[in-house]
Amino acid sequence: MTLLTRRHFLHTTSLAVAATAIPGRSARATPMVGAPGTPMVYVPPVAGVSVQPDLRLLAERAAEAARHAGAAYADARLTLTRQQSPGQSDSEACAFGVRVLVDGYWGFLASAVWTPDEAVRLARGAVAQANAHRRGKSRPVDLGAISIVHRGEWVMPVKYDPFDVSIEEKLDVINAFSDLASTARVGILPQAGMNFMRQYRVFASSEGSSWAQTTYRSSAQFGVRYRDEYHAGLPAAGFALDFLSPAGCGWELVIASGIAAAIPQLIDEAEQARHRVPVDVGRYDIVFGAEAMATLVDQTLGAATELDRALGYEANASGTSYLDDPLAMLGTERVTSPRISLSANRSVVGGAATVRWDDEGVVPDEFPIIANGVLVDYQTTREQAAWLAPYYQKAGHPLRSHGCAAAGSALDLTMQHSPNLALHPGSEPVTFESLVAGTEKGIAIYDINVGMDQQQLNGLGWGTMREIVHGKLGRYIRGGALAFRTPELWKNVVALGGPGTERLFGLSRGKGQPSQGTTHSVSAVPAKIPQLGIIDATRKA
Amino acid sequence: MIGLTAYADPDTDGRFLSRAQCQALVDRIVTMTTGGGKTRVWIDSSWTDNLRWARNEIATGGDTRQSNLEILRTIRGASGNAATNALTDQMLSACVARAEHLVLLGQENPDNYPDPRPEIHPTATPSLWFDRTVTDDEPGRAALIDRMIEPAAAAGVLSAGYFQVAASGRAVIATDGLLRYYPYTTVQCSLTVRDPKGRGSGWAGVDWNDVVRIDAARLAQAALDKCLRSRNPVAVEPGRFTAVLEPQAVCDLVSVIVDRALERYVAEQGLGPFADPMRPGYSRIGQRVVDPRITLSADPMDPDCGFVPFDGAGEPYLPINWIDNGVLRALSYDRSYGLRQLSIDAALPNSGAFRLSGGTSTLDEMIAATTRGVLVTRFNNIRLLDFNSMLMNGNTRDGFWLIERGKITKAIKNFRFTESPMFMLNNLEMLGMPQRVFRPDAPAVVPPLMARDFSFTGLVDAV
Repeated sequence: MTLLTRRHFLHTTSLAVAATAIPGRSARATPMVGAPGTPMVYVPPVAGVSVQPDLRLLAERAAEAARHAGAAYADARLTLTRQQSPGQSDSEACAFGVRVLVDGYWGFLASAVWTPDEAVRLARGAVAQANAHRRGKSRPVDLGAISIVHRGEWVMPVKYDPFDVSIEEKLDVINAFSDLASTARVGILPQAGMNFMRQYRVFASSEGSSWAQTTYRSSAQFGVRYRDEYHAGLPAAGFALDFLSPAGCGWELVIASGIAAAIPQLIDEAEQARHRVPVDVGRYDIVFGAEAMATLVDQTLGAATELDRALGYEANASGTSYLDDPLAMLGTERVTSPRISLSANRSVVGGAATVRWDDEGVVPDEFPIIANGVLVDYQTTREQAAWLAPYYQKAGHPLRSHGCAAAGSALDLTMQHSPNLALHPGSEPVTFESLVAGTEKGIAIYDINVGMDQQQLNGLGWGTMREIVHGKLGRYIRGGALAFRTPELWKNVVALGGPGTERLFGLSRGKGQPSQGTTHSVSAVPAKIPQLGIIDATRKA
Repeated sequence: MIGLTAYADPDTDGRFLSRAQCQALVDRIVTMTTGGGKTRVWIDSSWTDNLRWARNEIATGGDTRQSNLEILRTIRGASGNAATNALTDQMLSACVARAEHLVLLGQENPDNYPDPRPEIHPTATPSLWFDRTVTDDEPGRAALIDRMIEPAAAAGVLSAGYFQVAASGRAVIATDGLLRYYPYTTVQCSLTVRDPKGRGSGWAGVDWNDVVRIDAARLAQAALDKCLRSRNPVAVEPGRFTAVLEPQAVCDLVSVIVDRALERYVAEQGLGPFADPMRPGYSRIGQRVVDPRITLSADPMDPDCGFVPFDGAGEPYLPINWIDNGVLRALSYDRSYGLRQLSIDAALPNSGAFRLSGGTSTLDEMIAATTRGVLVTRFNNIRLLDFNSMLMNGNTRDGFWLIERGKITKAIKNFRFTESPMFMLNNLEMLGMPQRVFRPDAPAVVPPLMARDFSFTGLVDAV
């Protein structure tokens, strides 16, 4: 493969041309949408299941066996997860998990074996485990009612299944970026990588629901920094493309993104950032870019409104929440400026947590979490929704799970995980640029890496910062950190980006014991918050 | 073969792969390969059983079996690897095919050395398997959790915690004669006890290979005690304090050194606390780096801190003093570094496990010797700010007290700290008895200590 061809490839944004730009490839990107009439279900190689090629039959068998063994409720999931970081790792993993409820106690067994006998072993074992937990006591659990889907099918709409694209093609893009960036200017160190995941998931419950869905997640890291700027730990003056974070899409994330076209700007930013000025600690009016706001939303309000955290179920794991009295706070607690409205969904196109059904078979709804500054809901699963019943009744809301049940794979027990979050834009035609222009003296923060305490109350964030002087962007700043308390941060928002300034970013968070990680998307807009504290993170007492 | 097993392999009871099953699996995999060359397979097979409780009742459990395989194919020095957890012919051959496809794309690698040979590089044989850890006794474990919850419930506070046992076999098997397999059991227990109004919080936890070494009642009492004594903390101005750190707090900081800074190649690149700033290209091996009372070591045979005695490439873990009486003695390297730089056919891998030597002082004696200082249970949310100085920040949590004139006088609000464990280990006042702490990924035995001038930089009002 010549560099010329790679250049051609990278400069190409047309998908059709991209797919044919490299001749002689055995595997080519093939569209998965636009083939009417054929169900676009990814059919996995069903290994070890010689009798029943349909995994749904295995799931149904497990749910049935659990019911026979005495479970009041059971659900079975099977996942086939293909993951690839080209040039680094490549894996395929299968999983089979059965969860049961007996007298209010949960049991869960999982393995990587897909056979009818294993379905029965997992089901009976889960019931035995739940019985062991019960120890003669019962515990009220109200799962509520959900609509039953029989043999449902859904495939996340992507243009190109990343696993239909050859590894050669992927490595070509990585190498081409590295070649282009490192030859563009002396001393530039490129960093490039990609991650793809396709997960086929089958579900069946004792209530009669069964479905199969395929989701995708793609992300890429293309960045540059100067060789002499390396300091592990402290963010180096490096710059990465900000439109390649994890998303519910396929290979199109990479080829449609104009990576090559962005290289000169990346290098310019890295060059400017070499001349960073040391931070001048103090209080500043801060203009946050959409990416920084997405992280702040996620790490503060997002994590704090997970109902299991709020009630102490995660006390020994990911932490608790400063919004820790849901029934007293819902509908009344002013948690942010009235400008702020935050909602959640698992339906946004390109969302990393977008699904048709959640891991309990619930069709997730779009729901408000904060409405004009007031806390109005938490993220819930079926069991959790009932814990808020008094509030829903009072407020006249239906009692239902918001569909936030998830798990990395069927080897993990289903629990509440973050859905996609959306910070709503303001109504005024405000942009990042107009916020900067309206700031006499301040700091612009583009992206931020936040460390929060265990209650999401106090945060410290590092990121790419620039001076704002007389309404104009100035020099980059070195060593600064944003120190904040969550309630003050949100109550002091004075301006939000307007319609059209929303951008979607994929973020990951972990919780649970054993720990599980999941990824979701956060839609956010730029914002301005006055008089926040910028400290020198490296200064000792 | 010398010293491969000190005792008979345990009965896996079908819960994870035995030595014979691992060998048979690799034999099957080899029949699927094409193009010659060699094959190395890494297998981590385990059964885990866990119980989670919260708000004083059992919340969930989990019983999981899984075998993770990584297949490495090498043909004429070029290699490719792929992973799976499915043991069917179809999935395994697909995995082999993916690895072999990468071989074709790979370049011949001059650093591709033969695998360590078991007869030349025997491993240690620690006792890591304990039948009693993994007896199939879910009712017994549930009853144990009930007893741990009881004292918290009686005190009107909320207990949340996690108890997990696991039986595992780890294997590295290659077609050039490498065959290592090690069965081991693990158990971990940790809990957080919180005041229902969120006014106080206490934590305790530990992990072992042998379940009888876990004193669940003592852990439950310790977390409860910390919760009760930490209630209604008052704010104190942050600054430099004499800090008495419990073993877990010391572990939280020193772990970052062990996990990130013990690589010889990196130090010789001028990076990290063990790079010699005066001599580019050299590490600080041979120089005093911390207080002479400090020895940082690891030994797979350590009866209180043993671990599986080989790494993912099958390299044996040797007993090693990274830091010996304050002097940096060794940094880790792989086989190719050994051959290239040291002209020896050996690697010095870092298992991540560590023992930090101690002294004879008790926590009470340290408190009594403190005029004004703080007592730290543990740290949270630790971030490395500067690799060279190992400056990091984070916050205290789950029990934080002010010490005045030799006595604990009040519970105080948590602090953010900005400090380096290198600085701490150079500013020692007293050292206590090392003990096993909570570090499920790699075991650690760590003493409590008292250090001068520990830098606390801000208030964190989270409980």
